[in-house]
Amino acid sequence: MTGRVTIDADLNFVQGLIHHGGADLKKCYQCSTCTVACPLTPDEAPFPRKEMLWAQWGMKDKLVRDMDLWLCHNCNDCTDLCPRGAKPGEVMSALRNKTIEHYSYPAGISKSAKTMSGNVVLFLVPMFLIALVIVIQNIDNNFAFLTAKPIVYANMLPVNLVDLLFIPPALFALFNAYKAISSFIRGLKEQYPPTEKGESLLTAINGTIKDVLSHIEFKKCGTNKGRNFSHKLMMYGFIGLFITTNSVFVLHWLHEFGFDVQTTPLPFFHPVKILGNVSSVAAFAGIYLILRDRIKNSNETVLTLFDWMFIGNMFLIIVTGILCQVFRVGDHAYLAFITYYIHLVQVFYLIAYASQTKFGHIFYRPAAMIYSRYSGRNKNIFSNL
Amino acid sequence: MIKEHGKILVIGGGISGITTALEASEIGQDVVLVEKSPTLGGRVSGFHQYFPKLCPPTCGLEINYRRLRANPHIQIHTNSEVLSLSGDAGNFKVKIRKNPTFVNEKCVACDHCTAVCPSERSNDFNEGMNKTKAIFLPNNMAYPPRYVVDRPACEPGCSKCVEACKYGAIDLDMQVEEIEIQVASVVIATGWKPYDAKKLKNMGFSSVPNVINNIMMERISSVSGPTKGKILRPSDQKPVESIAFVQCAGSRDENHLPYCSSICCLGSLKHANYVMEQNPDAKIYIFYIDIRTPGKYEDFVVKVQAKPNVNMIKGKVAKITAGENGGVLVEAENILNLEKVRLDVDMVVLATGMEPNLKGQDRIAGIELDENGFVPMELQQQGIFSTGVAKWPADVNSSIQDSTGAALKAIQTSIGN
Repeated sequence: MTGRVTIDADLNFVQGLIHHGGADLKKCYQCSTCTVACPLTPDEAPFPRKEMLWAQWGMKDKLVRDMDLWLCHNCNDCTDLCPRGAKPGEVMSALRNKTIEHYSYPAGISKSAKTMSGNVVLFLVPMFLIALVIVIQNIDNNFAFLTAKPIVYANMLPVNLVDLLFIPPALFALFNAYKAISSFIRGLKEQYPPTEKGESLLTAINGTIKDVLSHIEFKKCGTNKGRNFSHKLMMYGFIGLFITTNSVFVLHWLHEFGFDVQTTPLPFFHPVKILGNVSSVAAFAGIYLILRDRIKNSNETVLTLFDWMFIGNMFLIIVTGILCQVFRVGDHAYLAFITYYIHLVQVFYLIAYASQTKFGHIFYRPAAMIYSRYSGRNKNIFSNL
Repeated sequence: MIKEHGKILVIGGGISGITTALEASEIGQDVVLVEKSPTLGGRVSGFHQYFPKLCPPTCGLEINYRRLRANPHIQIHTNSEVLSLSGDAGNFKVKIRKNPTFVNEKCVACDHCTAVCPSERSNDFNEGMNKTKAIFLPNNMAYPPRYVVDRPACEPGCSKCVEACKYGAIDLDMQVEEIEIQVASVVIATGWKPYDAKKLKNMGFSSVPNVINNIMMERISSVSGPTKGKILRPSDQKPVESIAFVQCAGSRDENHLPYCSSICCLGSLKHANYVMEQNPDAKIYIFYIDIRTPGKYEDFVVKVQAKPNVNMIKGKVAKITAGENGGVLVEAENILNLEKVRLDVDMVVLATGMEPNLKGQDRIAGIELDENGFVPMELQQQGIFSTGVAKWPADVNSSIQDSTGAALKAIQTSIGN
């Protein structure tokens, strides 16, 4: 702390934060009640008080390279006790969104995900692409799939075409995530050089996976303790659905290559089908609980469009996914195909822009958690503050 | 000196009310002083020492009581409440209820009654930290110096004190009396109470042993207190060797008291002195957000801070739990070196803020308080003035100056009415 410190204040960054979830950050008077209330912070250089100060001063460089933003799990114990109503929990959340925007590659997509008009453009891409493929595929037989019985989604859009439509955006997303996360980790390394107290990379990865799967951090939360359950349900639901989708993909290609395996539509008691249905019920229950709590606590929590787009996207994927099956079994052709189309558009949005929307936390958070173990998160590294 | 003029009603008999009453009456103005409790003196009488001179309350109150005794223009109603107030500047009708103390003016405070009294009550003067008999002297410098009976604490049918009193001073059948008076102006000097620390869920008050508030600290340090002035922790009477002061316990907090109470920092610094006077080796920790010592008290901070065993830590304590062997564990972030601090100390003093006594009460009908329970200045136009902590958080010194001003204002309204 000795010597002179030049503060590089980015006032636009502060304004951005204030307008995107951190509206009350300037109320903070640095009492550090939040830091003591926080059940997750380490003792050395604890959060979120220092982040509140950095945010007020516009110290963007420090914040986007701050792993502590991602060690915070939005328990909101801090916001609850804050004597000024500065809502540190919400400021941390806004800072995470800002970090996603900062590292977003290509830069523009994350900015678009923050605005209504930007989101319209982001949605028009899959809406147009998928519609175009459906039209090209079915124009010759005059959209016969609408009247064919029983309802088979592959009649509208064969699995090969679905794969063709979704593999490129998935690769696009993975590449972007790689670009974003590698510069994020570079930032973390600059701000927190690894110390001898750190774990090996493998141990750190292993430990983080265990922490994420067990939700051990969420369990420590006081105020938002319900989120341990709802987030876990949703996470496992989505993991289940991810496995389901990939199994269907594998089954399809095995079938194509002449193996004797069942392909879609799978019978009700097929293991993959069971996994899919159980997962979607879990994911639905999870997202429902999250939505309910968010709405119930709307005076405490600040939800920006960026947050809503993510929650809404998740919600619509689950609901349309479930309805697809309901309408198919109930034999409502038009409803079934429209729902399926919406489902595909929503899934496209989730996958293609994964690292630029709030969904990006699935890359940033584990990366920061692994790095905090790997670096041995030590207060000495703050000597340059 | 002043001929045709109405009376002044002063509500509250603490240092502010007494000062207002004296300053006005010593020029011949008639004053009615109403005090809710059985004795005058208010908060000041409970202090061990008070600013600015750090003298015991006897030195300030005694001179005031002498002035009161010599003054023919003040009518004092202790153990009384103002029930209602109606009218306008120059012409108020006031209803006062005089609650019975069951002891009349014949009492000479000989203490024979307490020897025979079989019942006990929690001693509110010592913040409930010890007991008195059901018949008791409110404190060692009560004015009037007269015993009081806490009737609900009496054993049913008991009249042993009546028999023991040689002066016929005890009358257990004394009734409530209501009187109505006319006054020209009103001064509200109803004072404050410490913020109820039980509302601070994370501060462990009443759930963790040896967590006390600042008023309890005054009582523990005072020779008239439950420990005869020895600073011992309540749970086991162990002399305090380490102590933590938690500033802003309730103050500057929108969930509790949104304002700065202005005196608590000086209070804790003063308490640090109490501890050091008894045990120079005691470890003293003062956790603060900002140390605020308004006025000319800056040098006091510097003096206390320079003491070798005084440790000032920037960072608010936000968690208090039971420590080892009756100790108390306080948790804060030491902001200046970016580290969480956990300290196990013998005793913790919560520097609780000032809450106006009138807050949440409509005892005085027709008076609208501000959102924090203080008397708003706007009432001046109606001939209603306020002083001391009824108006805003203040120390004794500035309350006294304020009260002199309030007396002048009240006289101006009374003249010609």
